[in-house]
Amino acid sequence: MRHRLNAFFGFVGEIGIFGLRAIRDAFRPPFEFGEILNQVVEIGWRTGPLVLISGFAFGVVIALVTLASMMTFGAQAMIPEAISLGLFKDTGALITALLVSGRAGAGIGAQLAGMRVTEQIDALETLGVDSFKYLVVTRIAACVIAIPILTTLFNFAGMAGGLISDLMSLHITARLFIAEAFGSMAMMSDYVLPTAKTVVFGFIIGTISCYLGYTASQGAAGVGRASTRSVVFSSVLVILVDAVLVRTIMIWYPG
Amino acid sequence: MTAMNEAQPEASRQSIAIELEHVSKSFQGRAVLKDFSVKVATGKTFCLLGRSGTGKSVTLKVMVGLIQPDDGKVMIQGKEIDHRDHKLLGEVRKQIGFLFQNAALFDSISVSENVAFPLRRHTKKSEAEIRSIVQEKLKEVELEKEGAKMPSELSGGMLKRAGLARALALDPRILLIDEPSSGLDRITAKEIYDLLLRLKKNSNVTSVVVTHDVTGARKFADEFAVLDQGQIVACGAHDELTGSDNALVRELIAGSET
Repeated sequence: MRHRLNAFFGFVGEIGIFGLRAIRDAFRPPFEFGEILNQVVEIGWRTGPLVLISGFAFGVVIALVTLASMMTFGAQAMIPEAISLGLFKDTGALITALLVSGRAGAGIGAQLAGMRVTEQIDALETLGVDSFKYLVVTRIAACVIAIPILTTLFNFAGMAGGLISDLMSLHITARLFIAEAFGSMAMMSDYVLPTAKTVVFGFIIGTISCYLGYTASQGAAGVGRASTRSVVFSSVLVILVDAVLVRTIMIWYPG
Repeated sequence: MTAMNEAQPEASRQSIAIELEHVSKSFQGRAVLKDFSVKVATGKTFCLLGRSGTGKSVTLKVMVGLIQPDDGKVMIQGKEIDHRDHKLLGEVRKQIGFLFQNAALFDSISVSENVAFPLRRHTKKSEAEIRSIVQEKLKEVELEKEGAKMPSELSGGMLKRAGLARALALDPRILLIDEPSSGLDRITAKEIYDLLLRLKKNSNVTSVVVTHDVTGARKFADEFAVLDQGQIVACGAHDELTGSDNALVRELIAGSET
């Protein structure tokens, strides 16, 4: 038990140091802006369609579930607001982070692990390129940049799903739905901060995936392990950190 | 003799391209290199022989700074490699071309892009100039028609040649080659050796080649060294080593696969 705890805290410490090194190197020249942009596009390309479809479907589901509960209390007018608050305050950010973790995080872990075991990372170094900056810093930065954008896409796709569902099941106009959905929303606590916190999710997903890929070993098995662990570890940590961030936002902006 | 395990007569610094001085390296308590010293003269082709796991590839990686020795000094073109000085390390590496055993081409970009990669990173050449150099390097390794292909579409021999073209892109002064013929049939291996021989004739590049194939390496190697248990047990021209007292040296020099 003690050995396992030591291994666990050793692992957490190594990831922490890895992440801090990435932050330090991100502010040291040369800056790999081109590669960061490539990675943002790559993550967007990989995850964007998934986020849009999932967001739309989630909006439909949340609208149907909310409809069933609200009708019991005769409070159908509150459905648009319930959907928007549910999505924008937390659920949208969390689900988007889990989708990015499952799609892009696994991809990053597998790609870097593949490069490690086939000596491509060593090859980069022999070509006079700092592989940590070129591969790790750029991918973490891309995750940090892409997730708020993808979260916004997910939220609006969810609202579109909710709108279409409500148009079909309630006698409500699109204009009224939008007015009800966004009328009582507080900009800072309901939109800006919940979206901004996804930067932390991006850092967690990028750092864990890059760490597991960059330090992979043991051939093809190591590649598979890096990919799976990237998803598992980053998803669990995102959920735990989300609980802390939600509570923090509630303390700053009660109600 | 330019390479030996003990201190050797002082040669002029300018004529030595690579020098390892009393280098030791262990992995998880197992000593791979023990007080290892070697000098490789400029323009010479130096061939490292030895059984599997004796530290040949580790020696190459120590030379290019991929592996930091536990002890000892590594000098490239008279400059000591300091792993804390990333800028110097980067500058030294630009003078070295490294061909990995499996070529280690970047699998997400085409063969041409692989060759162009170091040129884009380290030179300010125009796109037209880069394209011209890439074509020239690919022609040198007889892959001028394969530039658009992805690495996964190439055969083993083609991969090695493409890896060599990338290693040569910046016209390095030193070439480190890890097992150029491993996994290749005799005919393809011969093509690779002919290529290395042509390269040696056409340029003044200093090469260190790790191989098991002495028969093939005889064509272009000036000197051979045999590694055993982390140390050089014999060093010299092929003919000098054929009469060695050491059975391992005789067996390796005779061209037996290990």
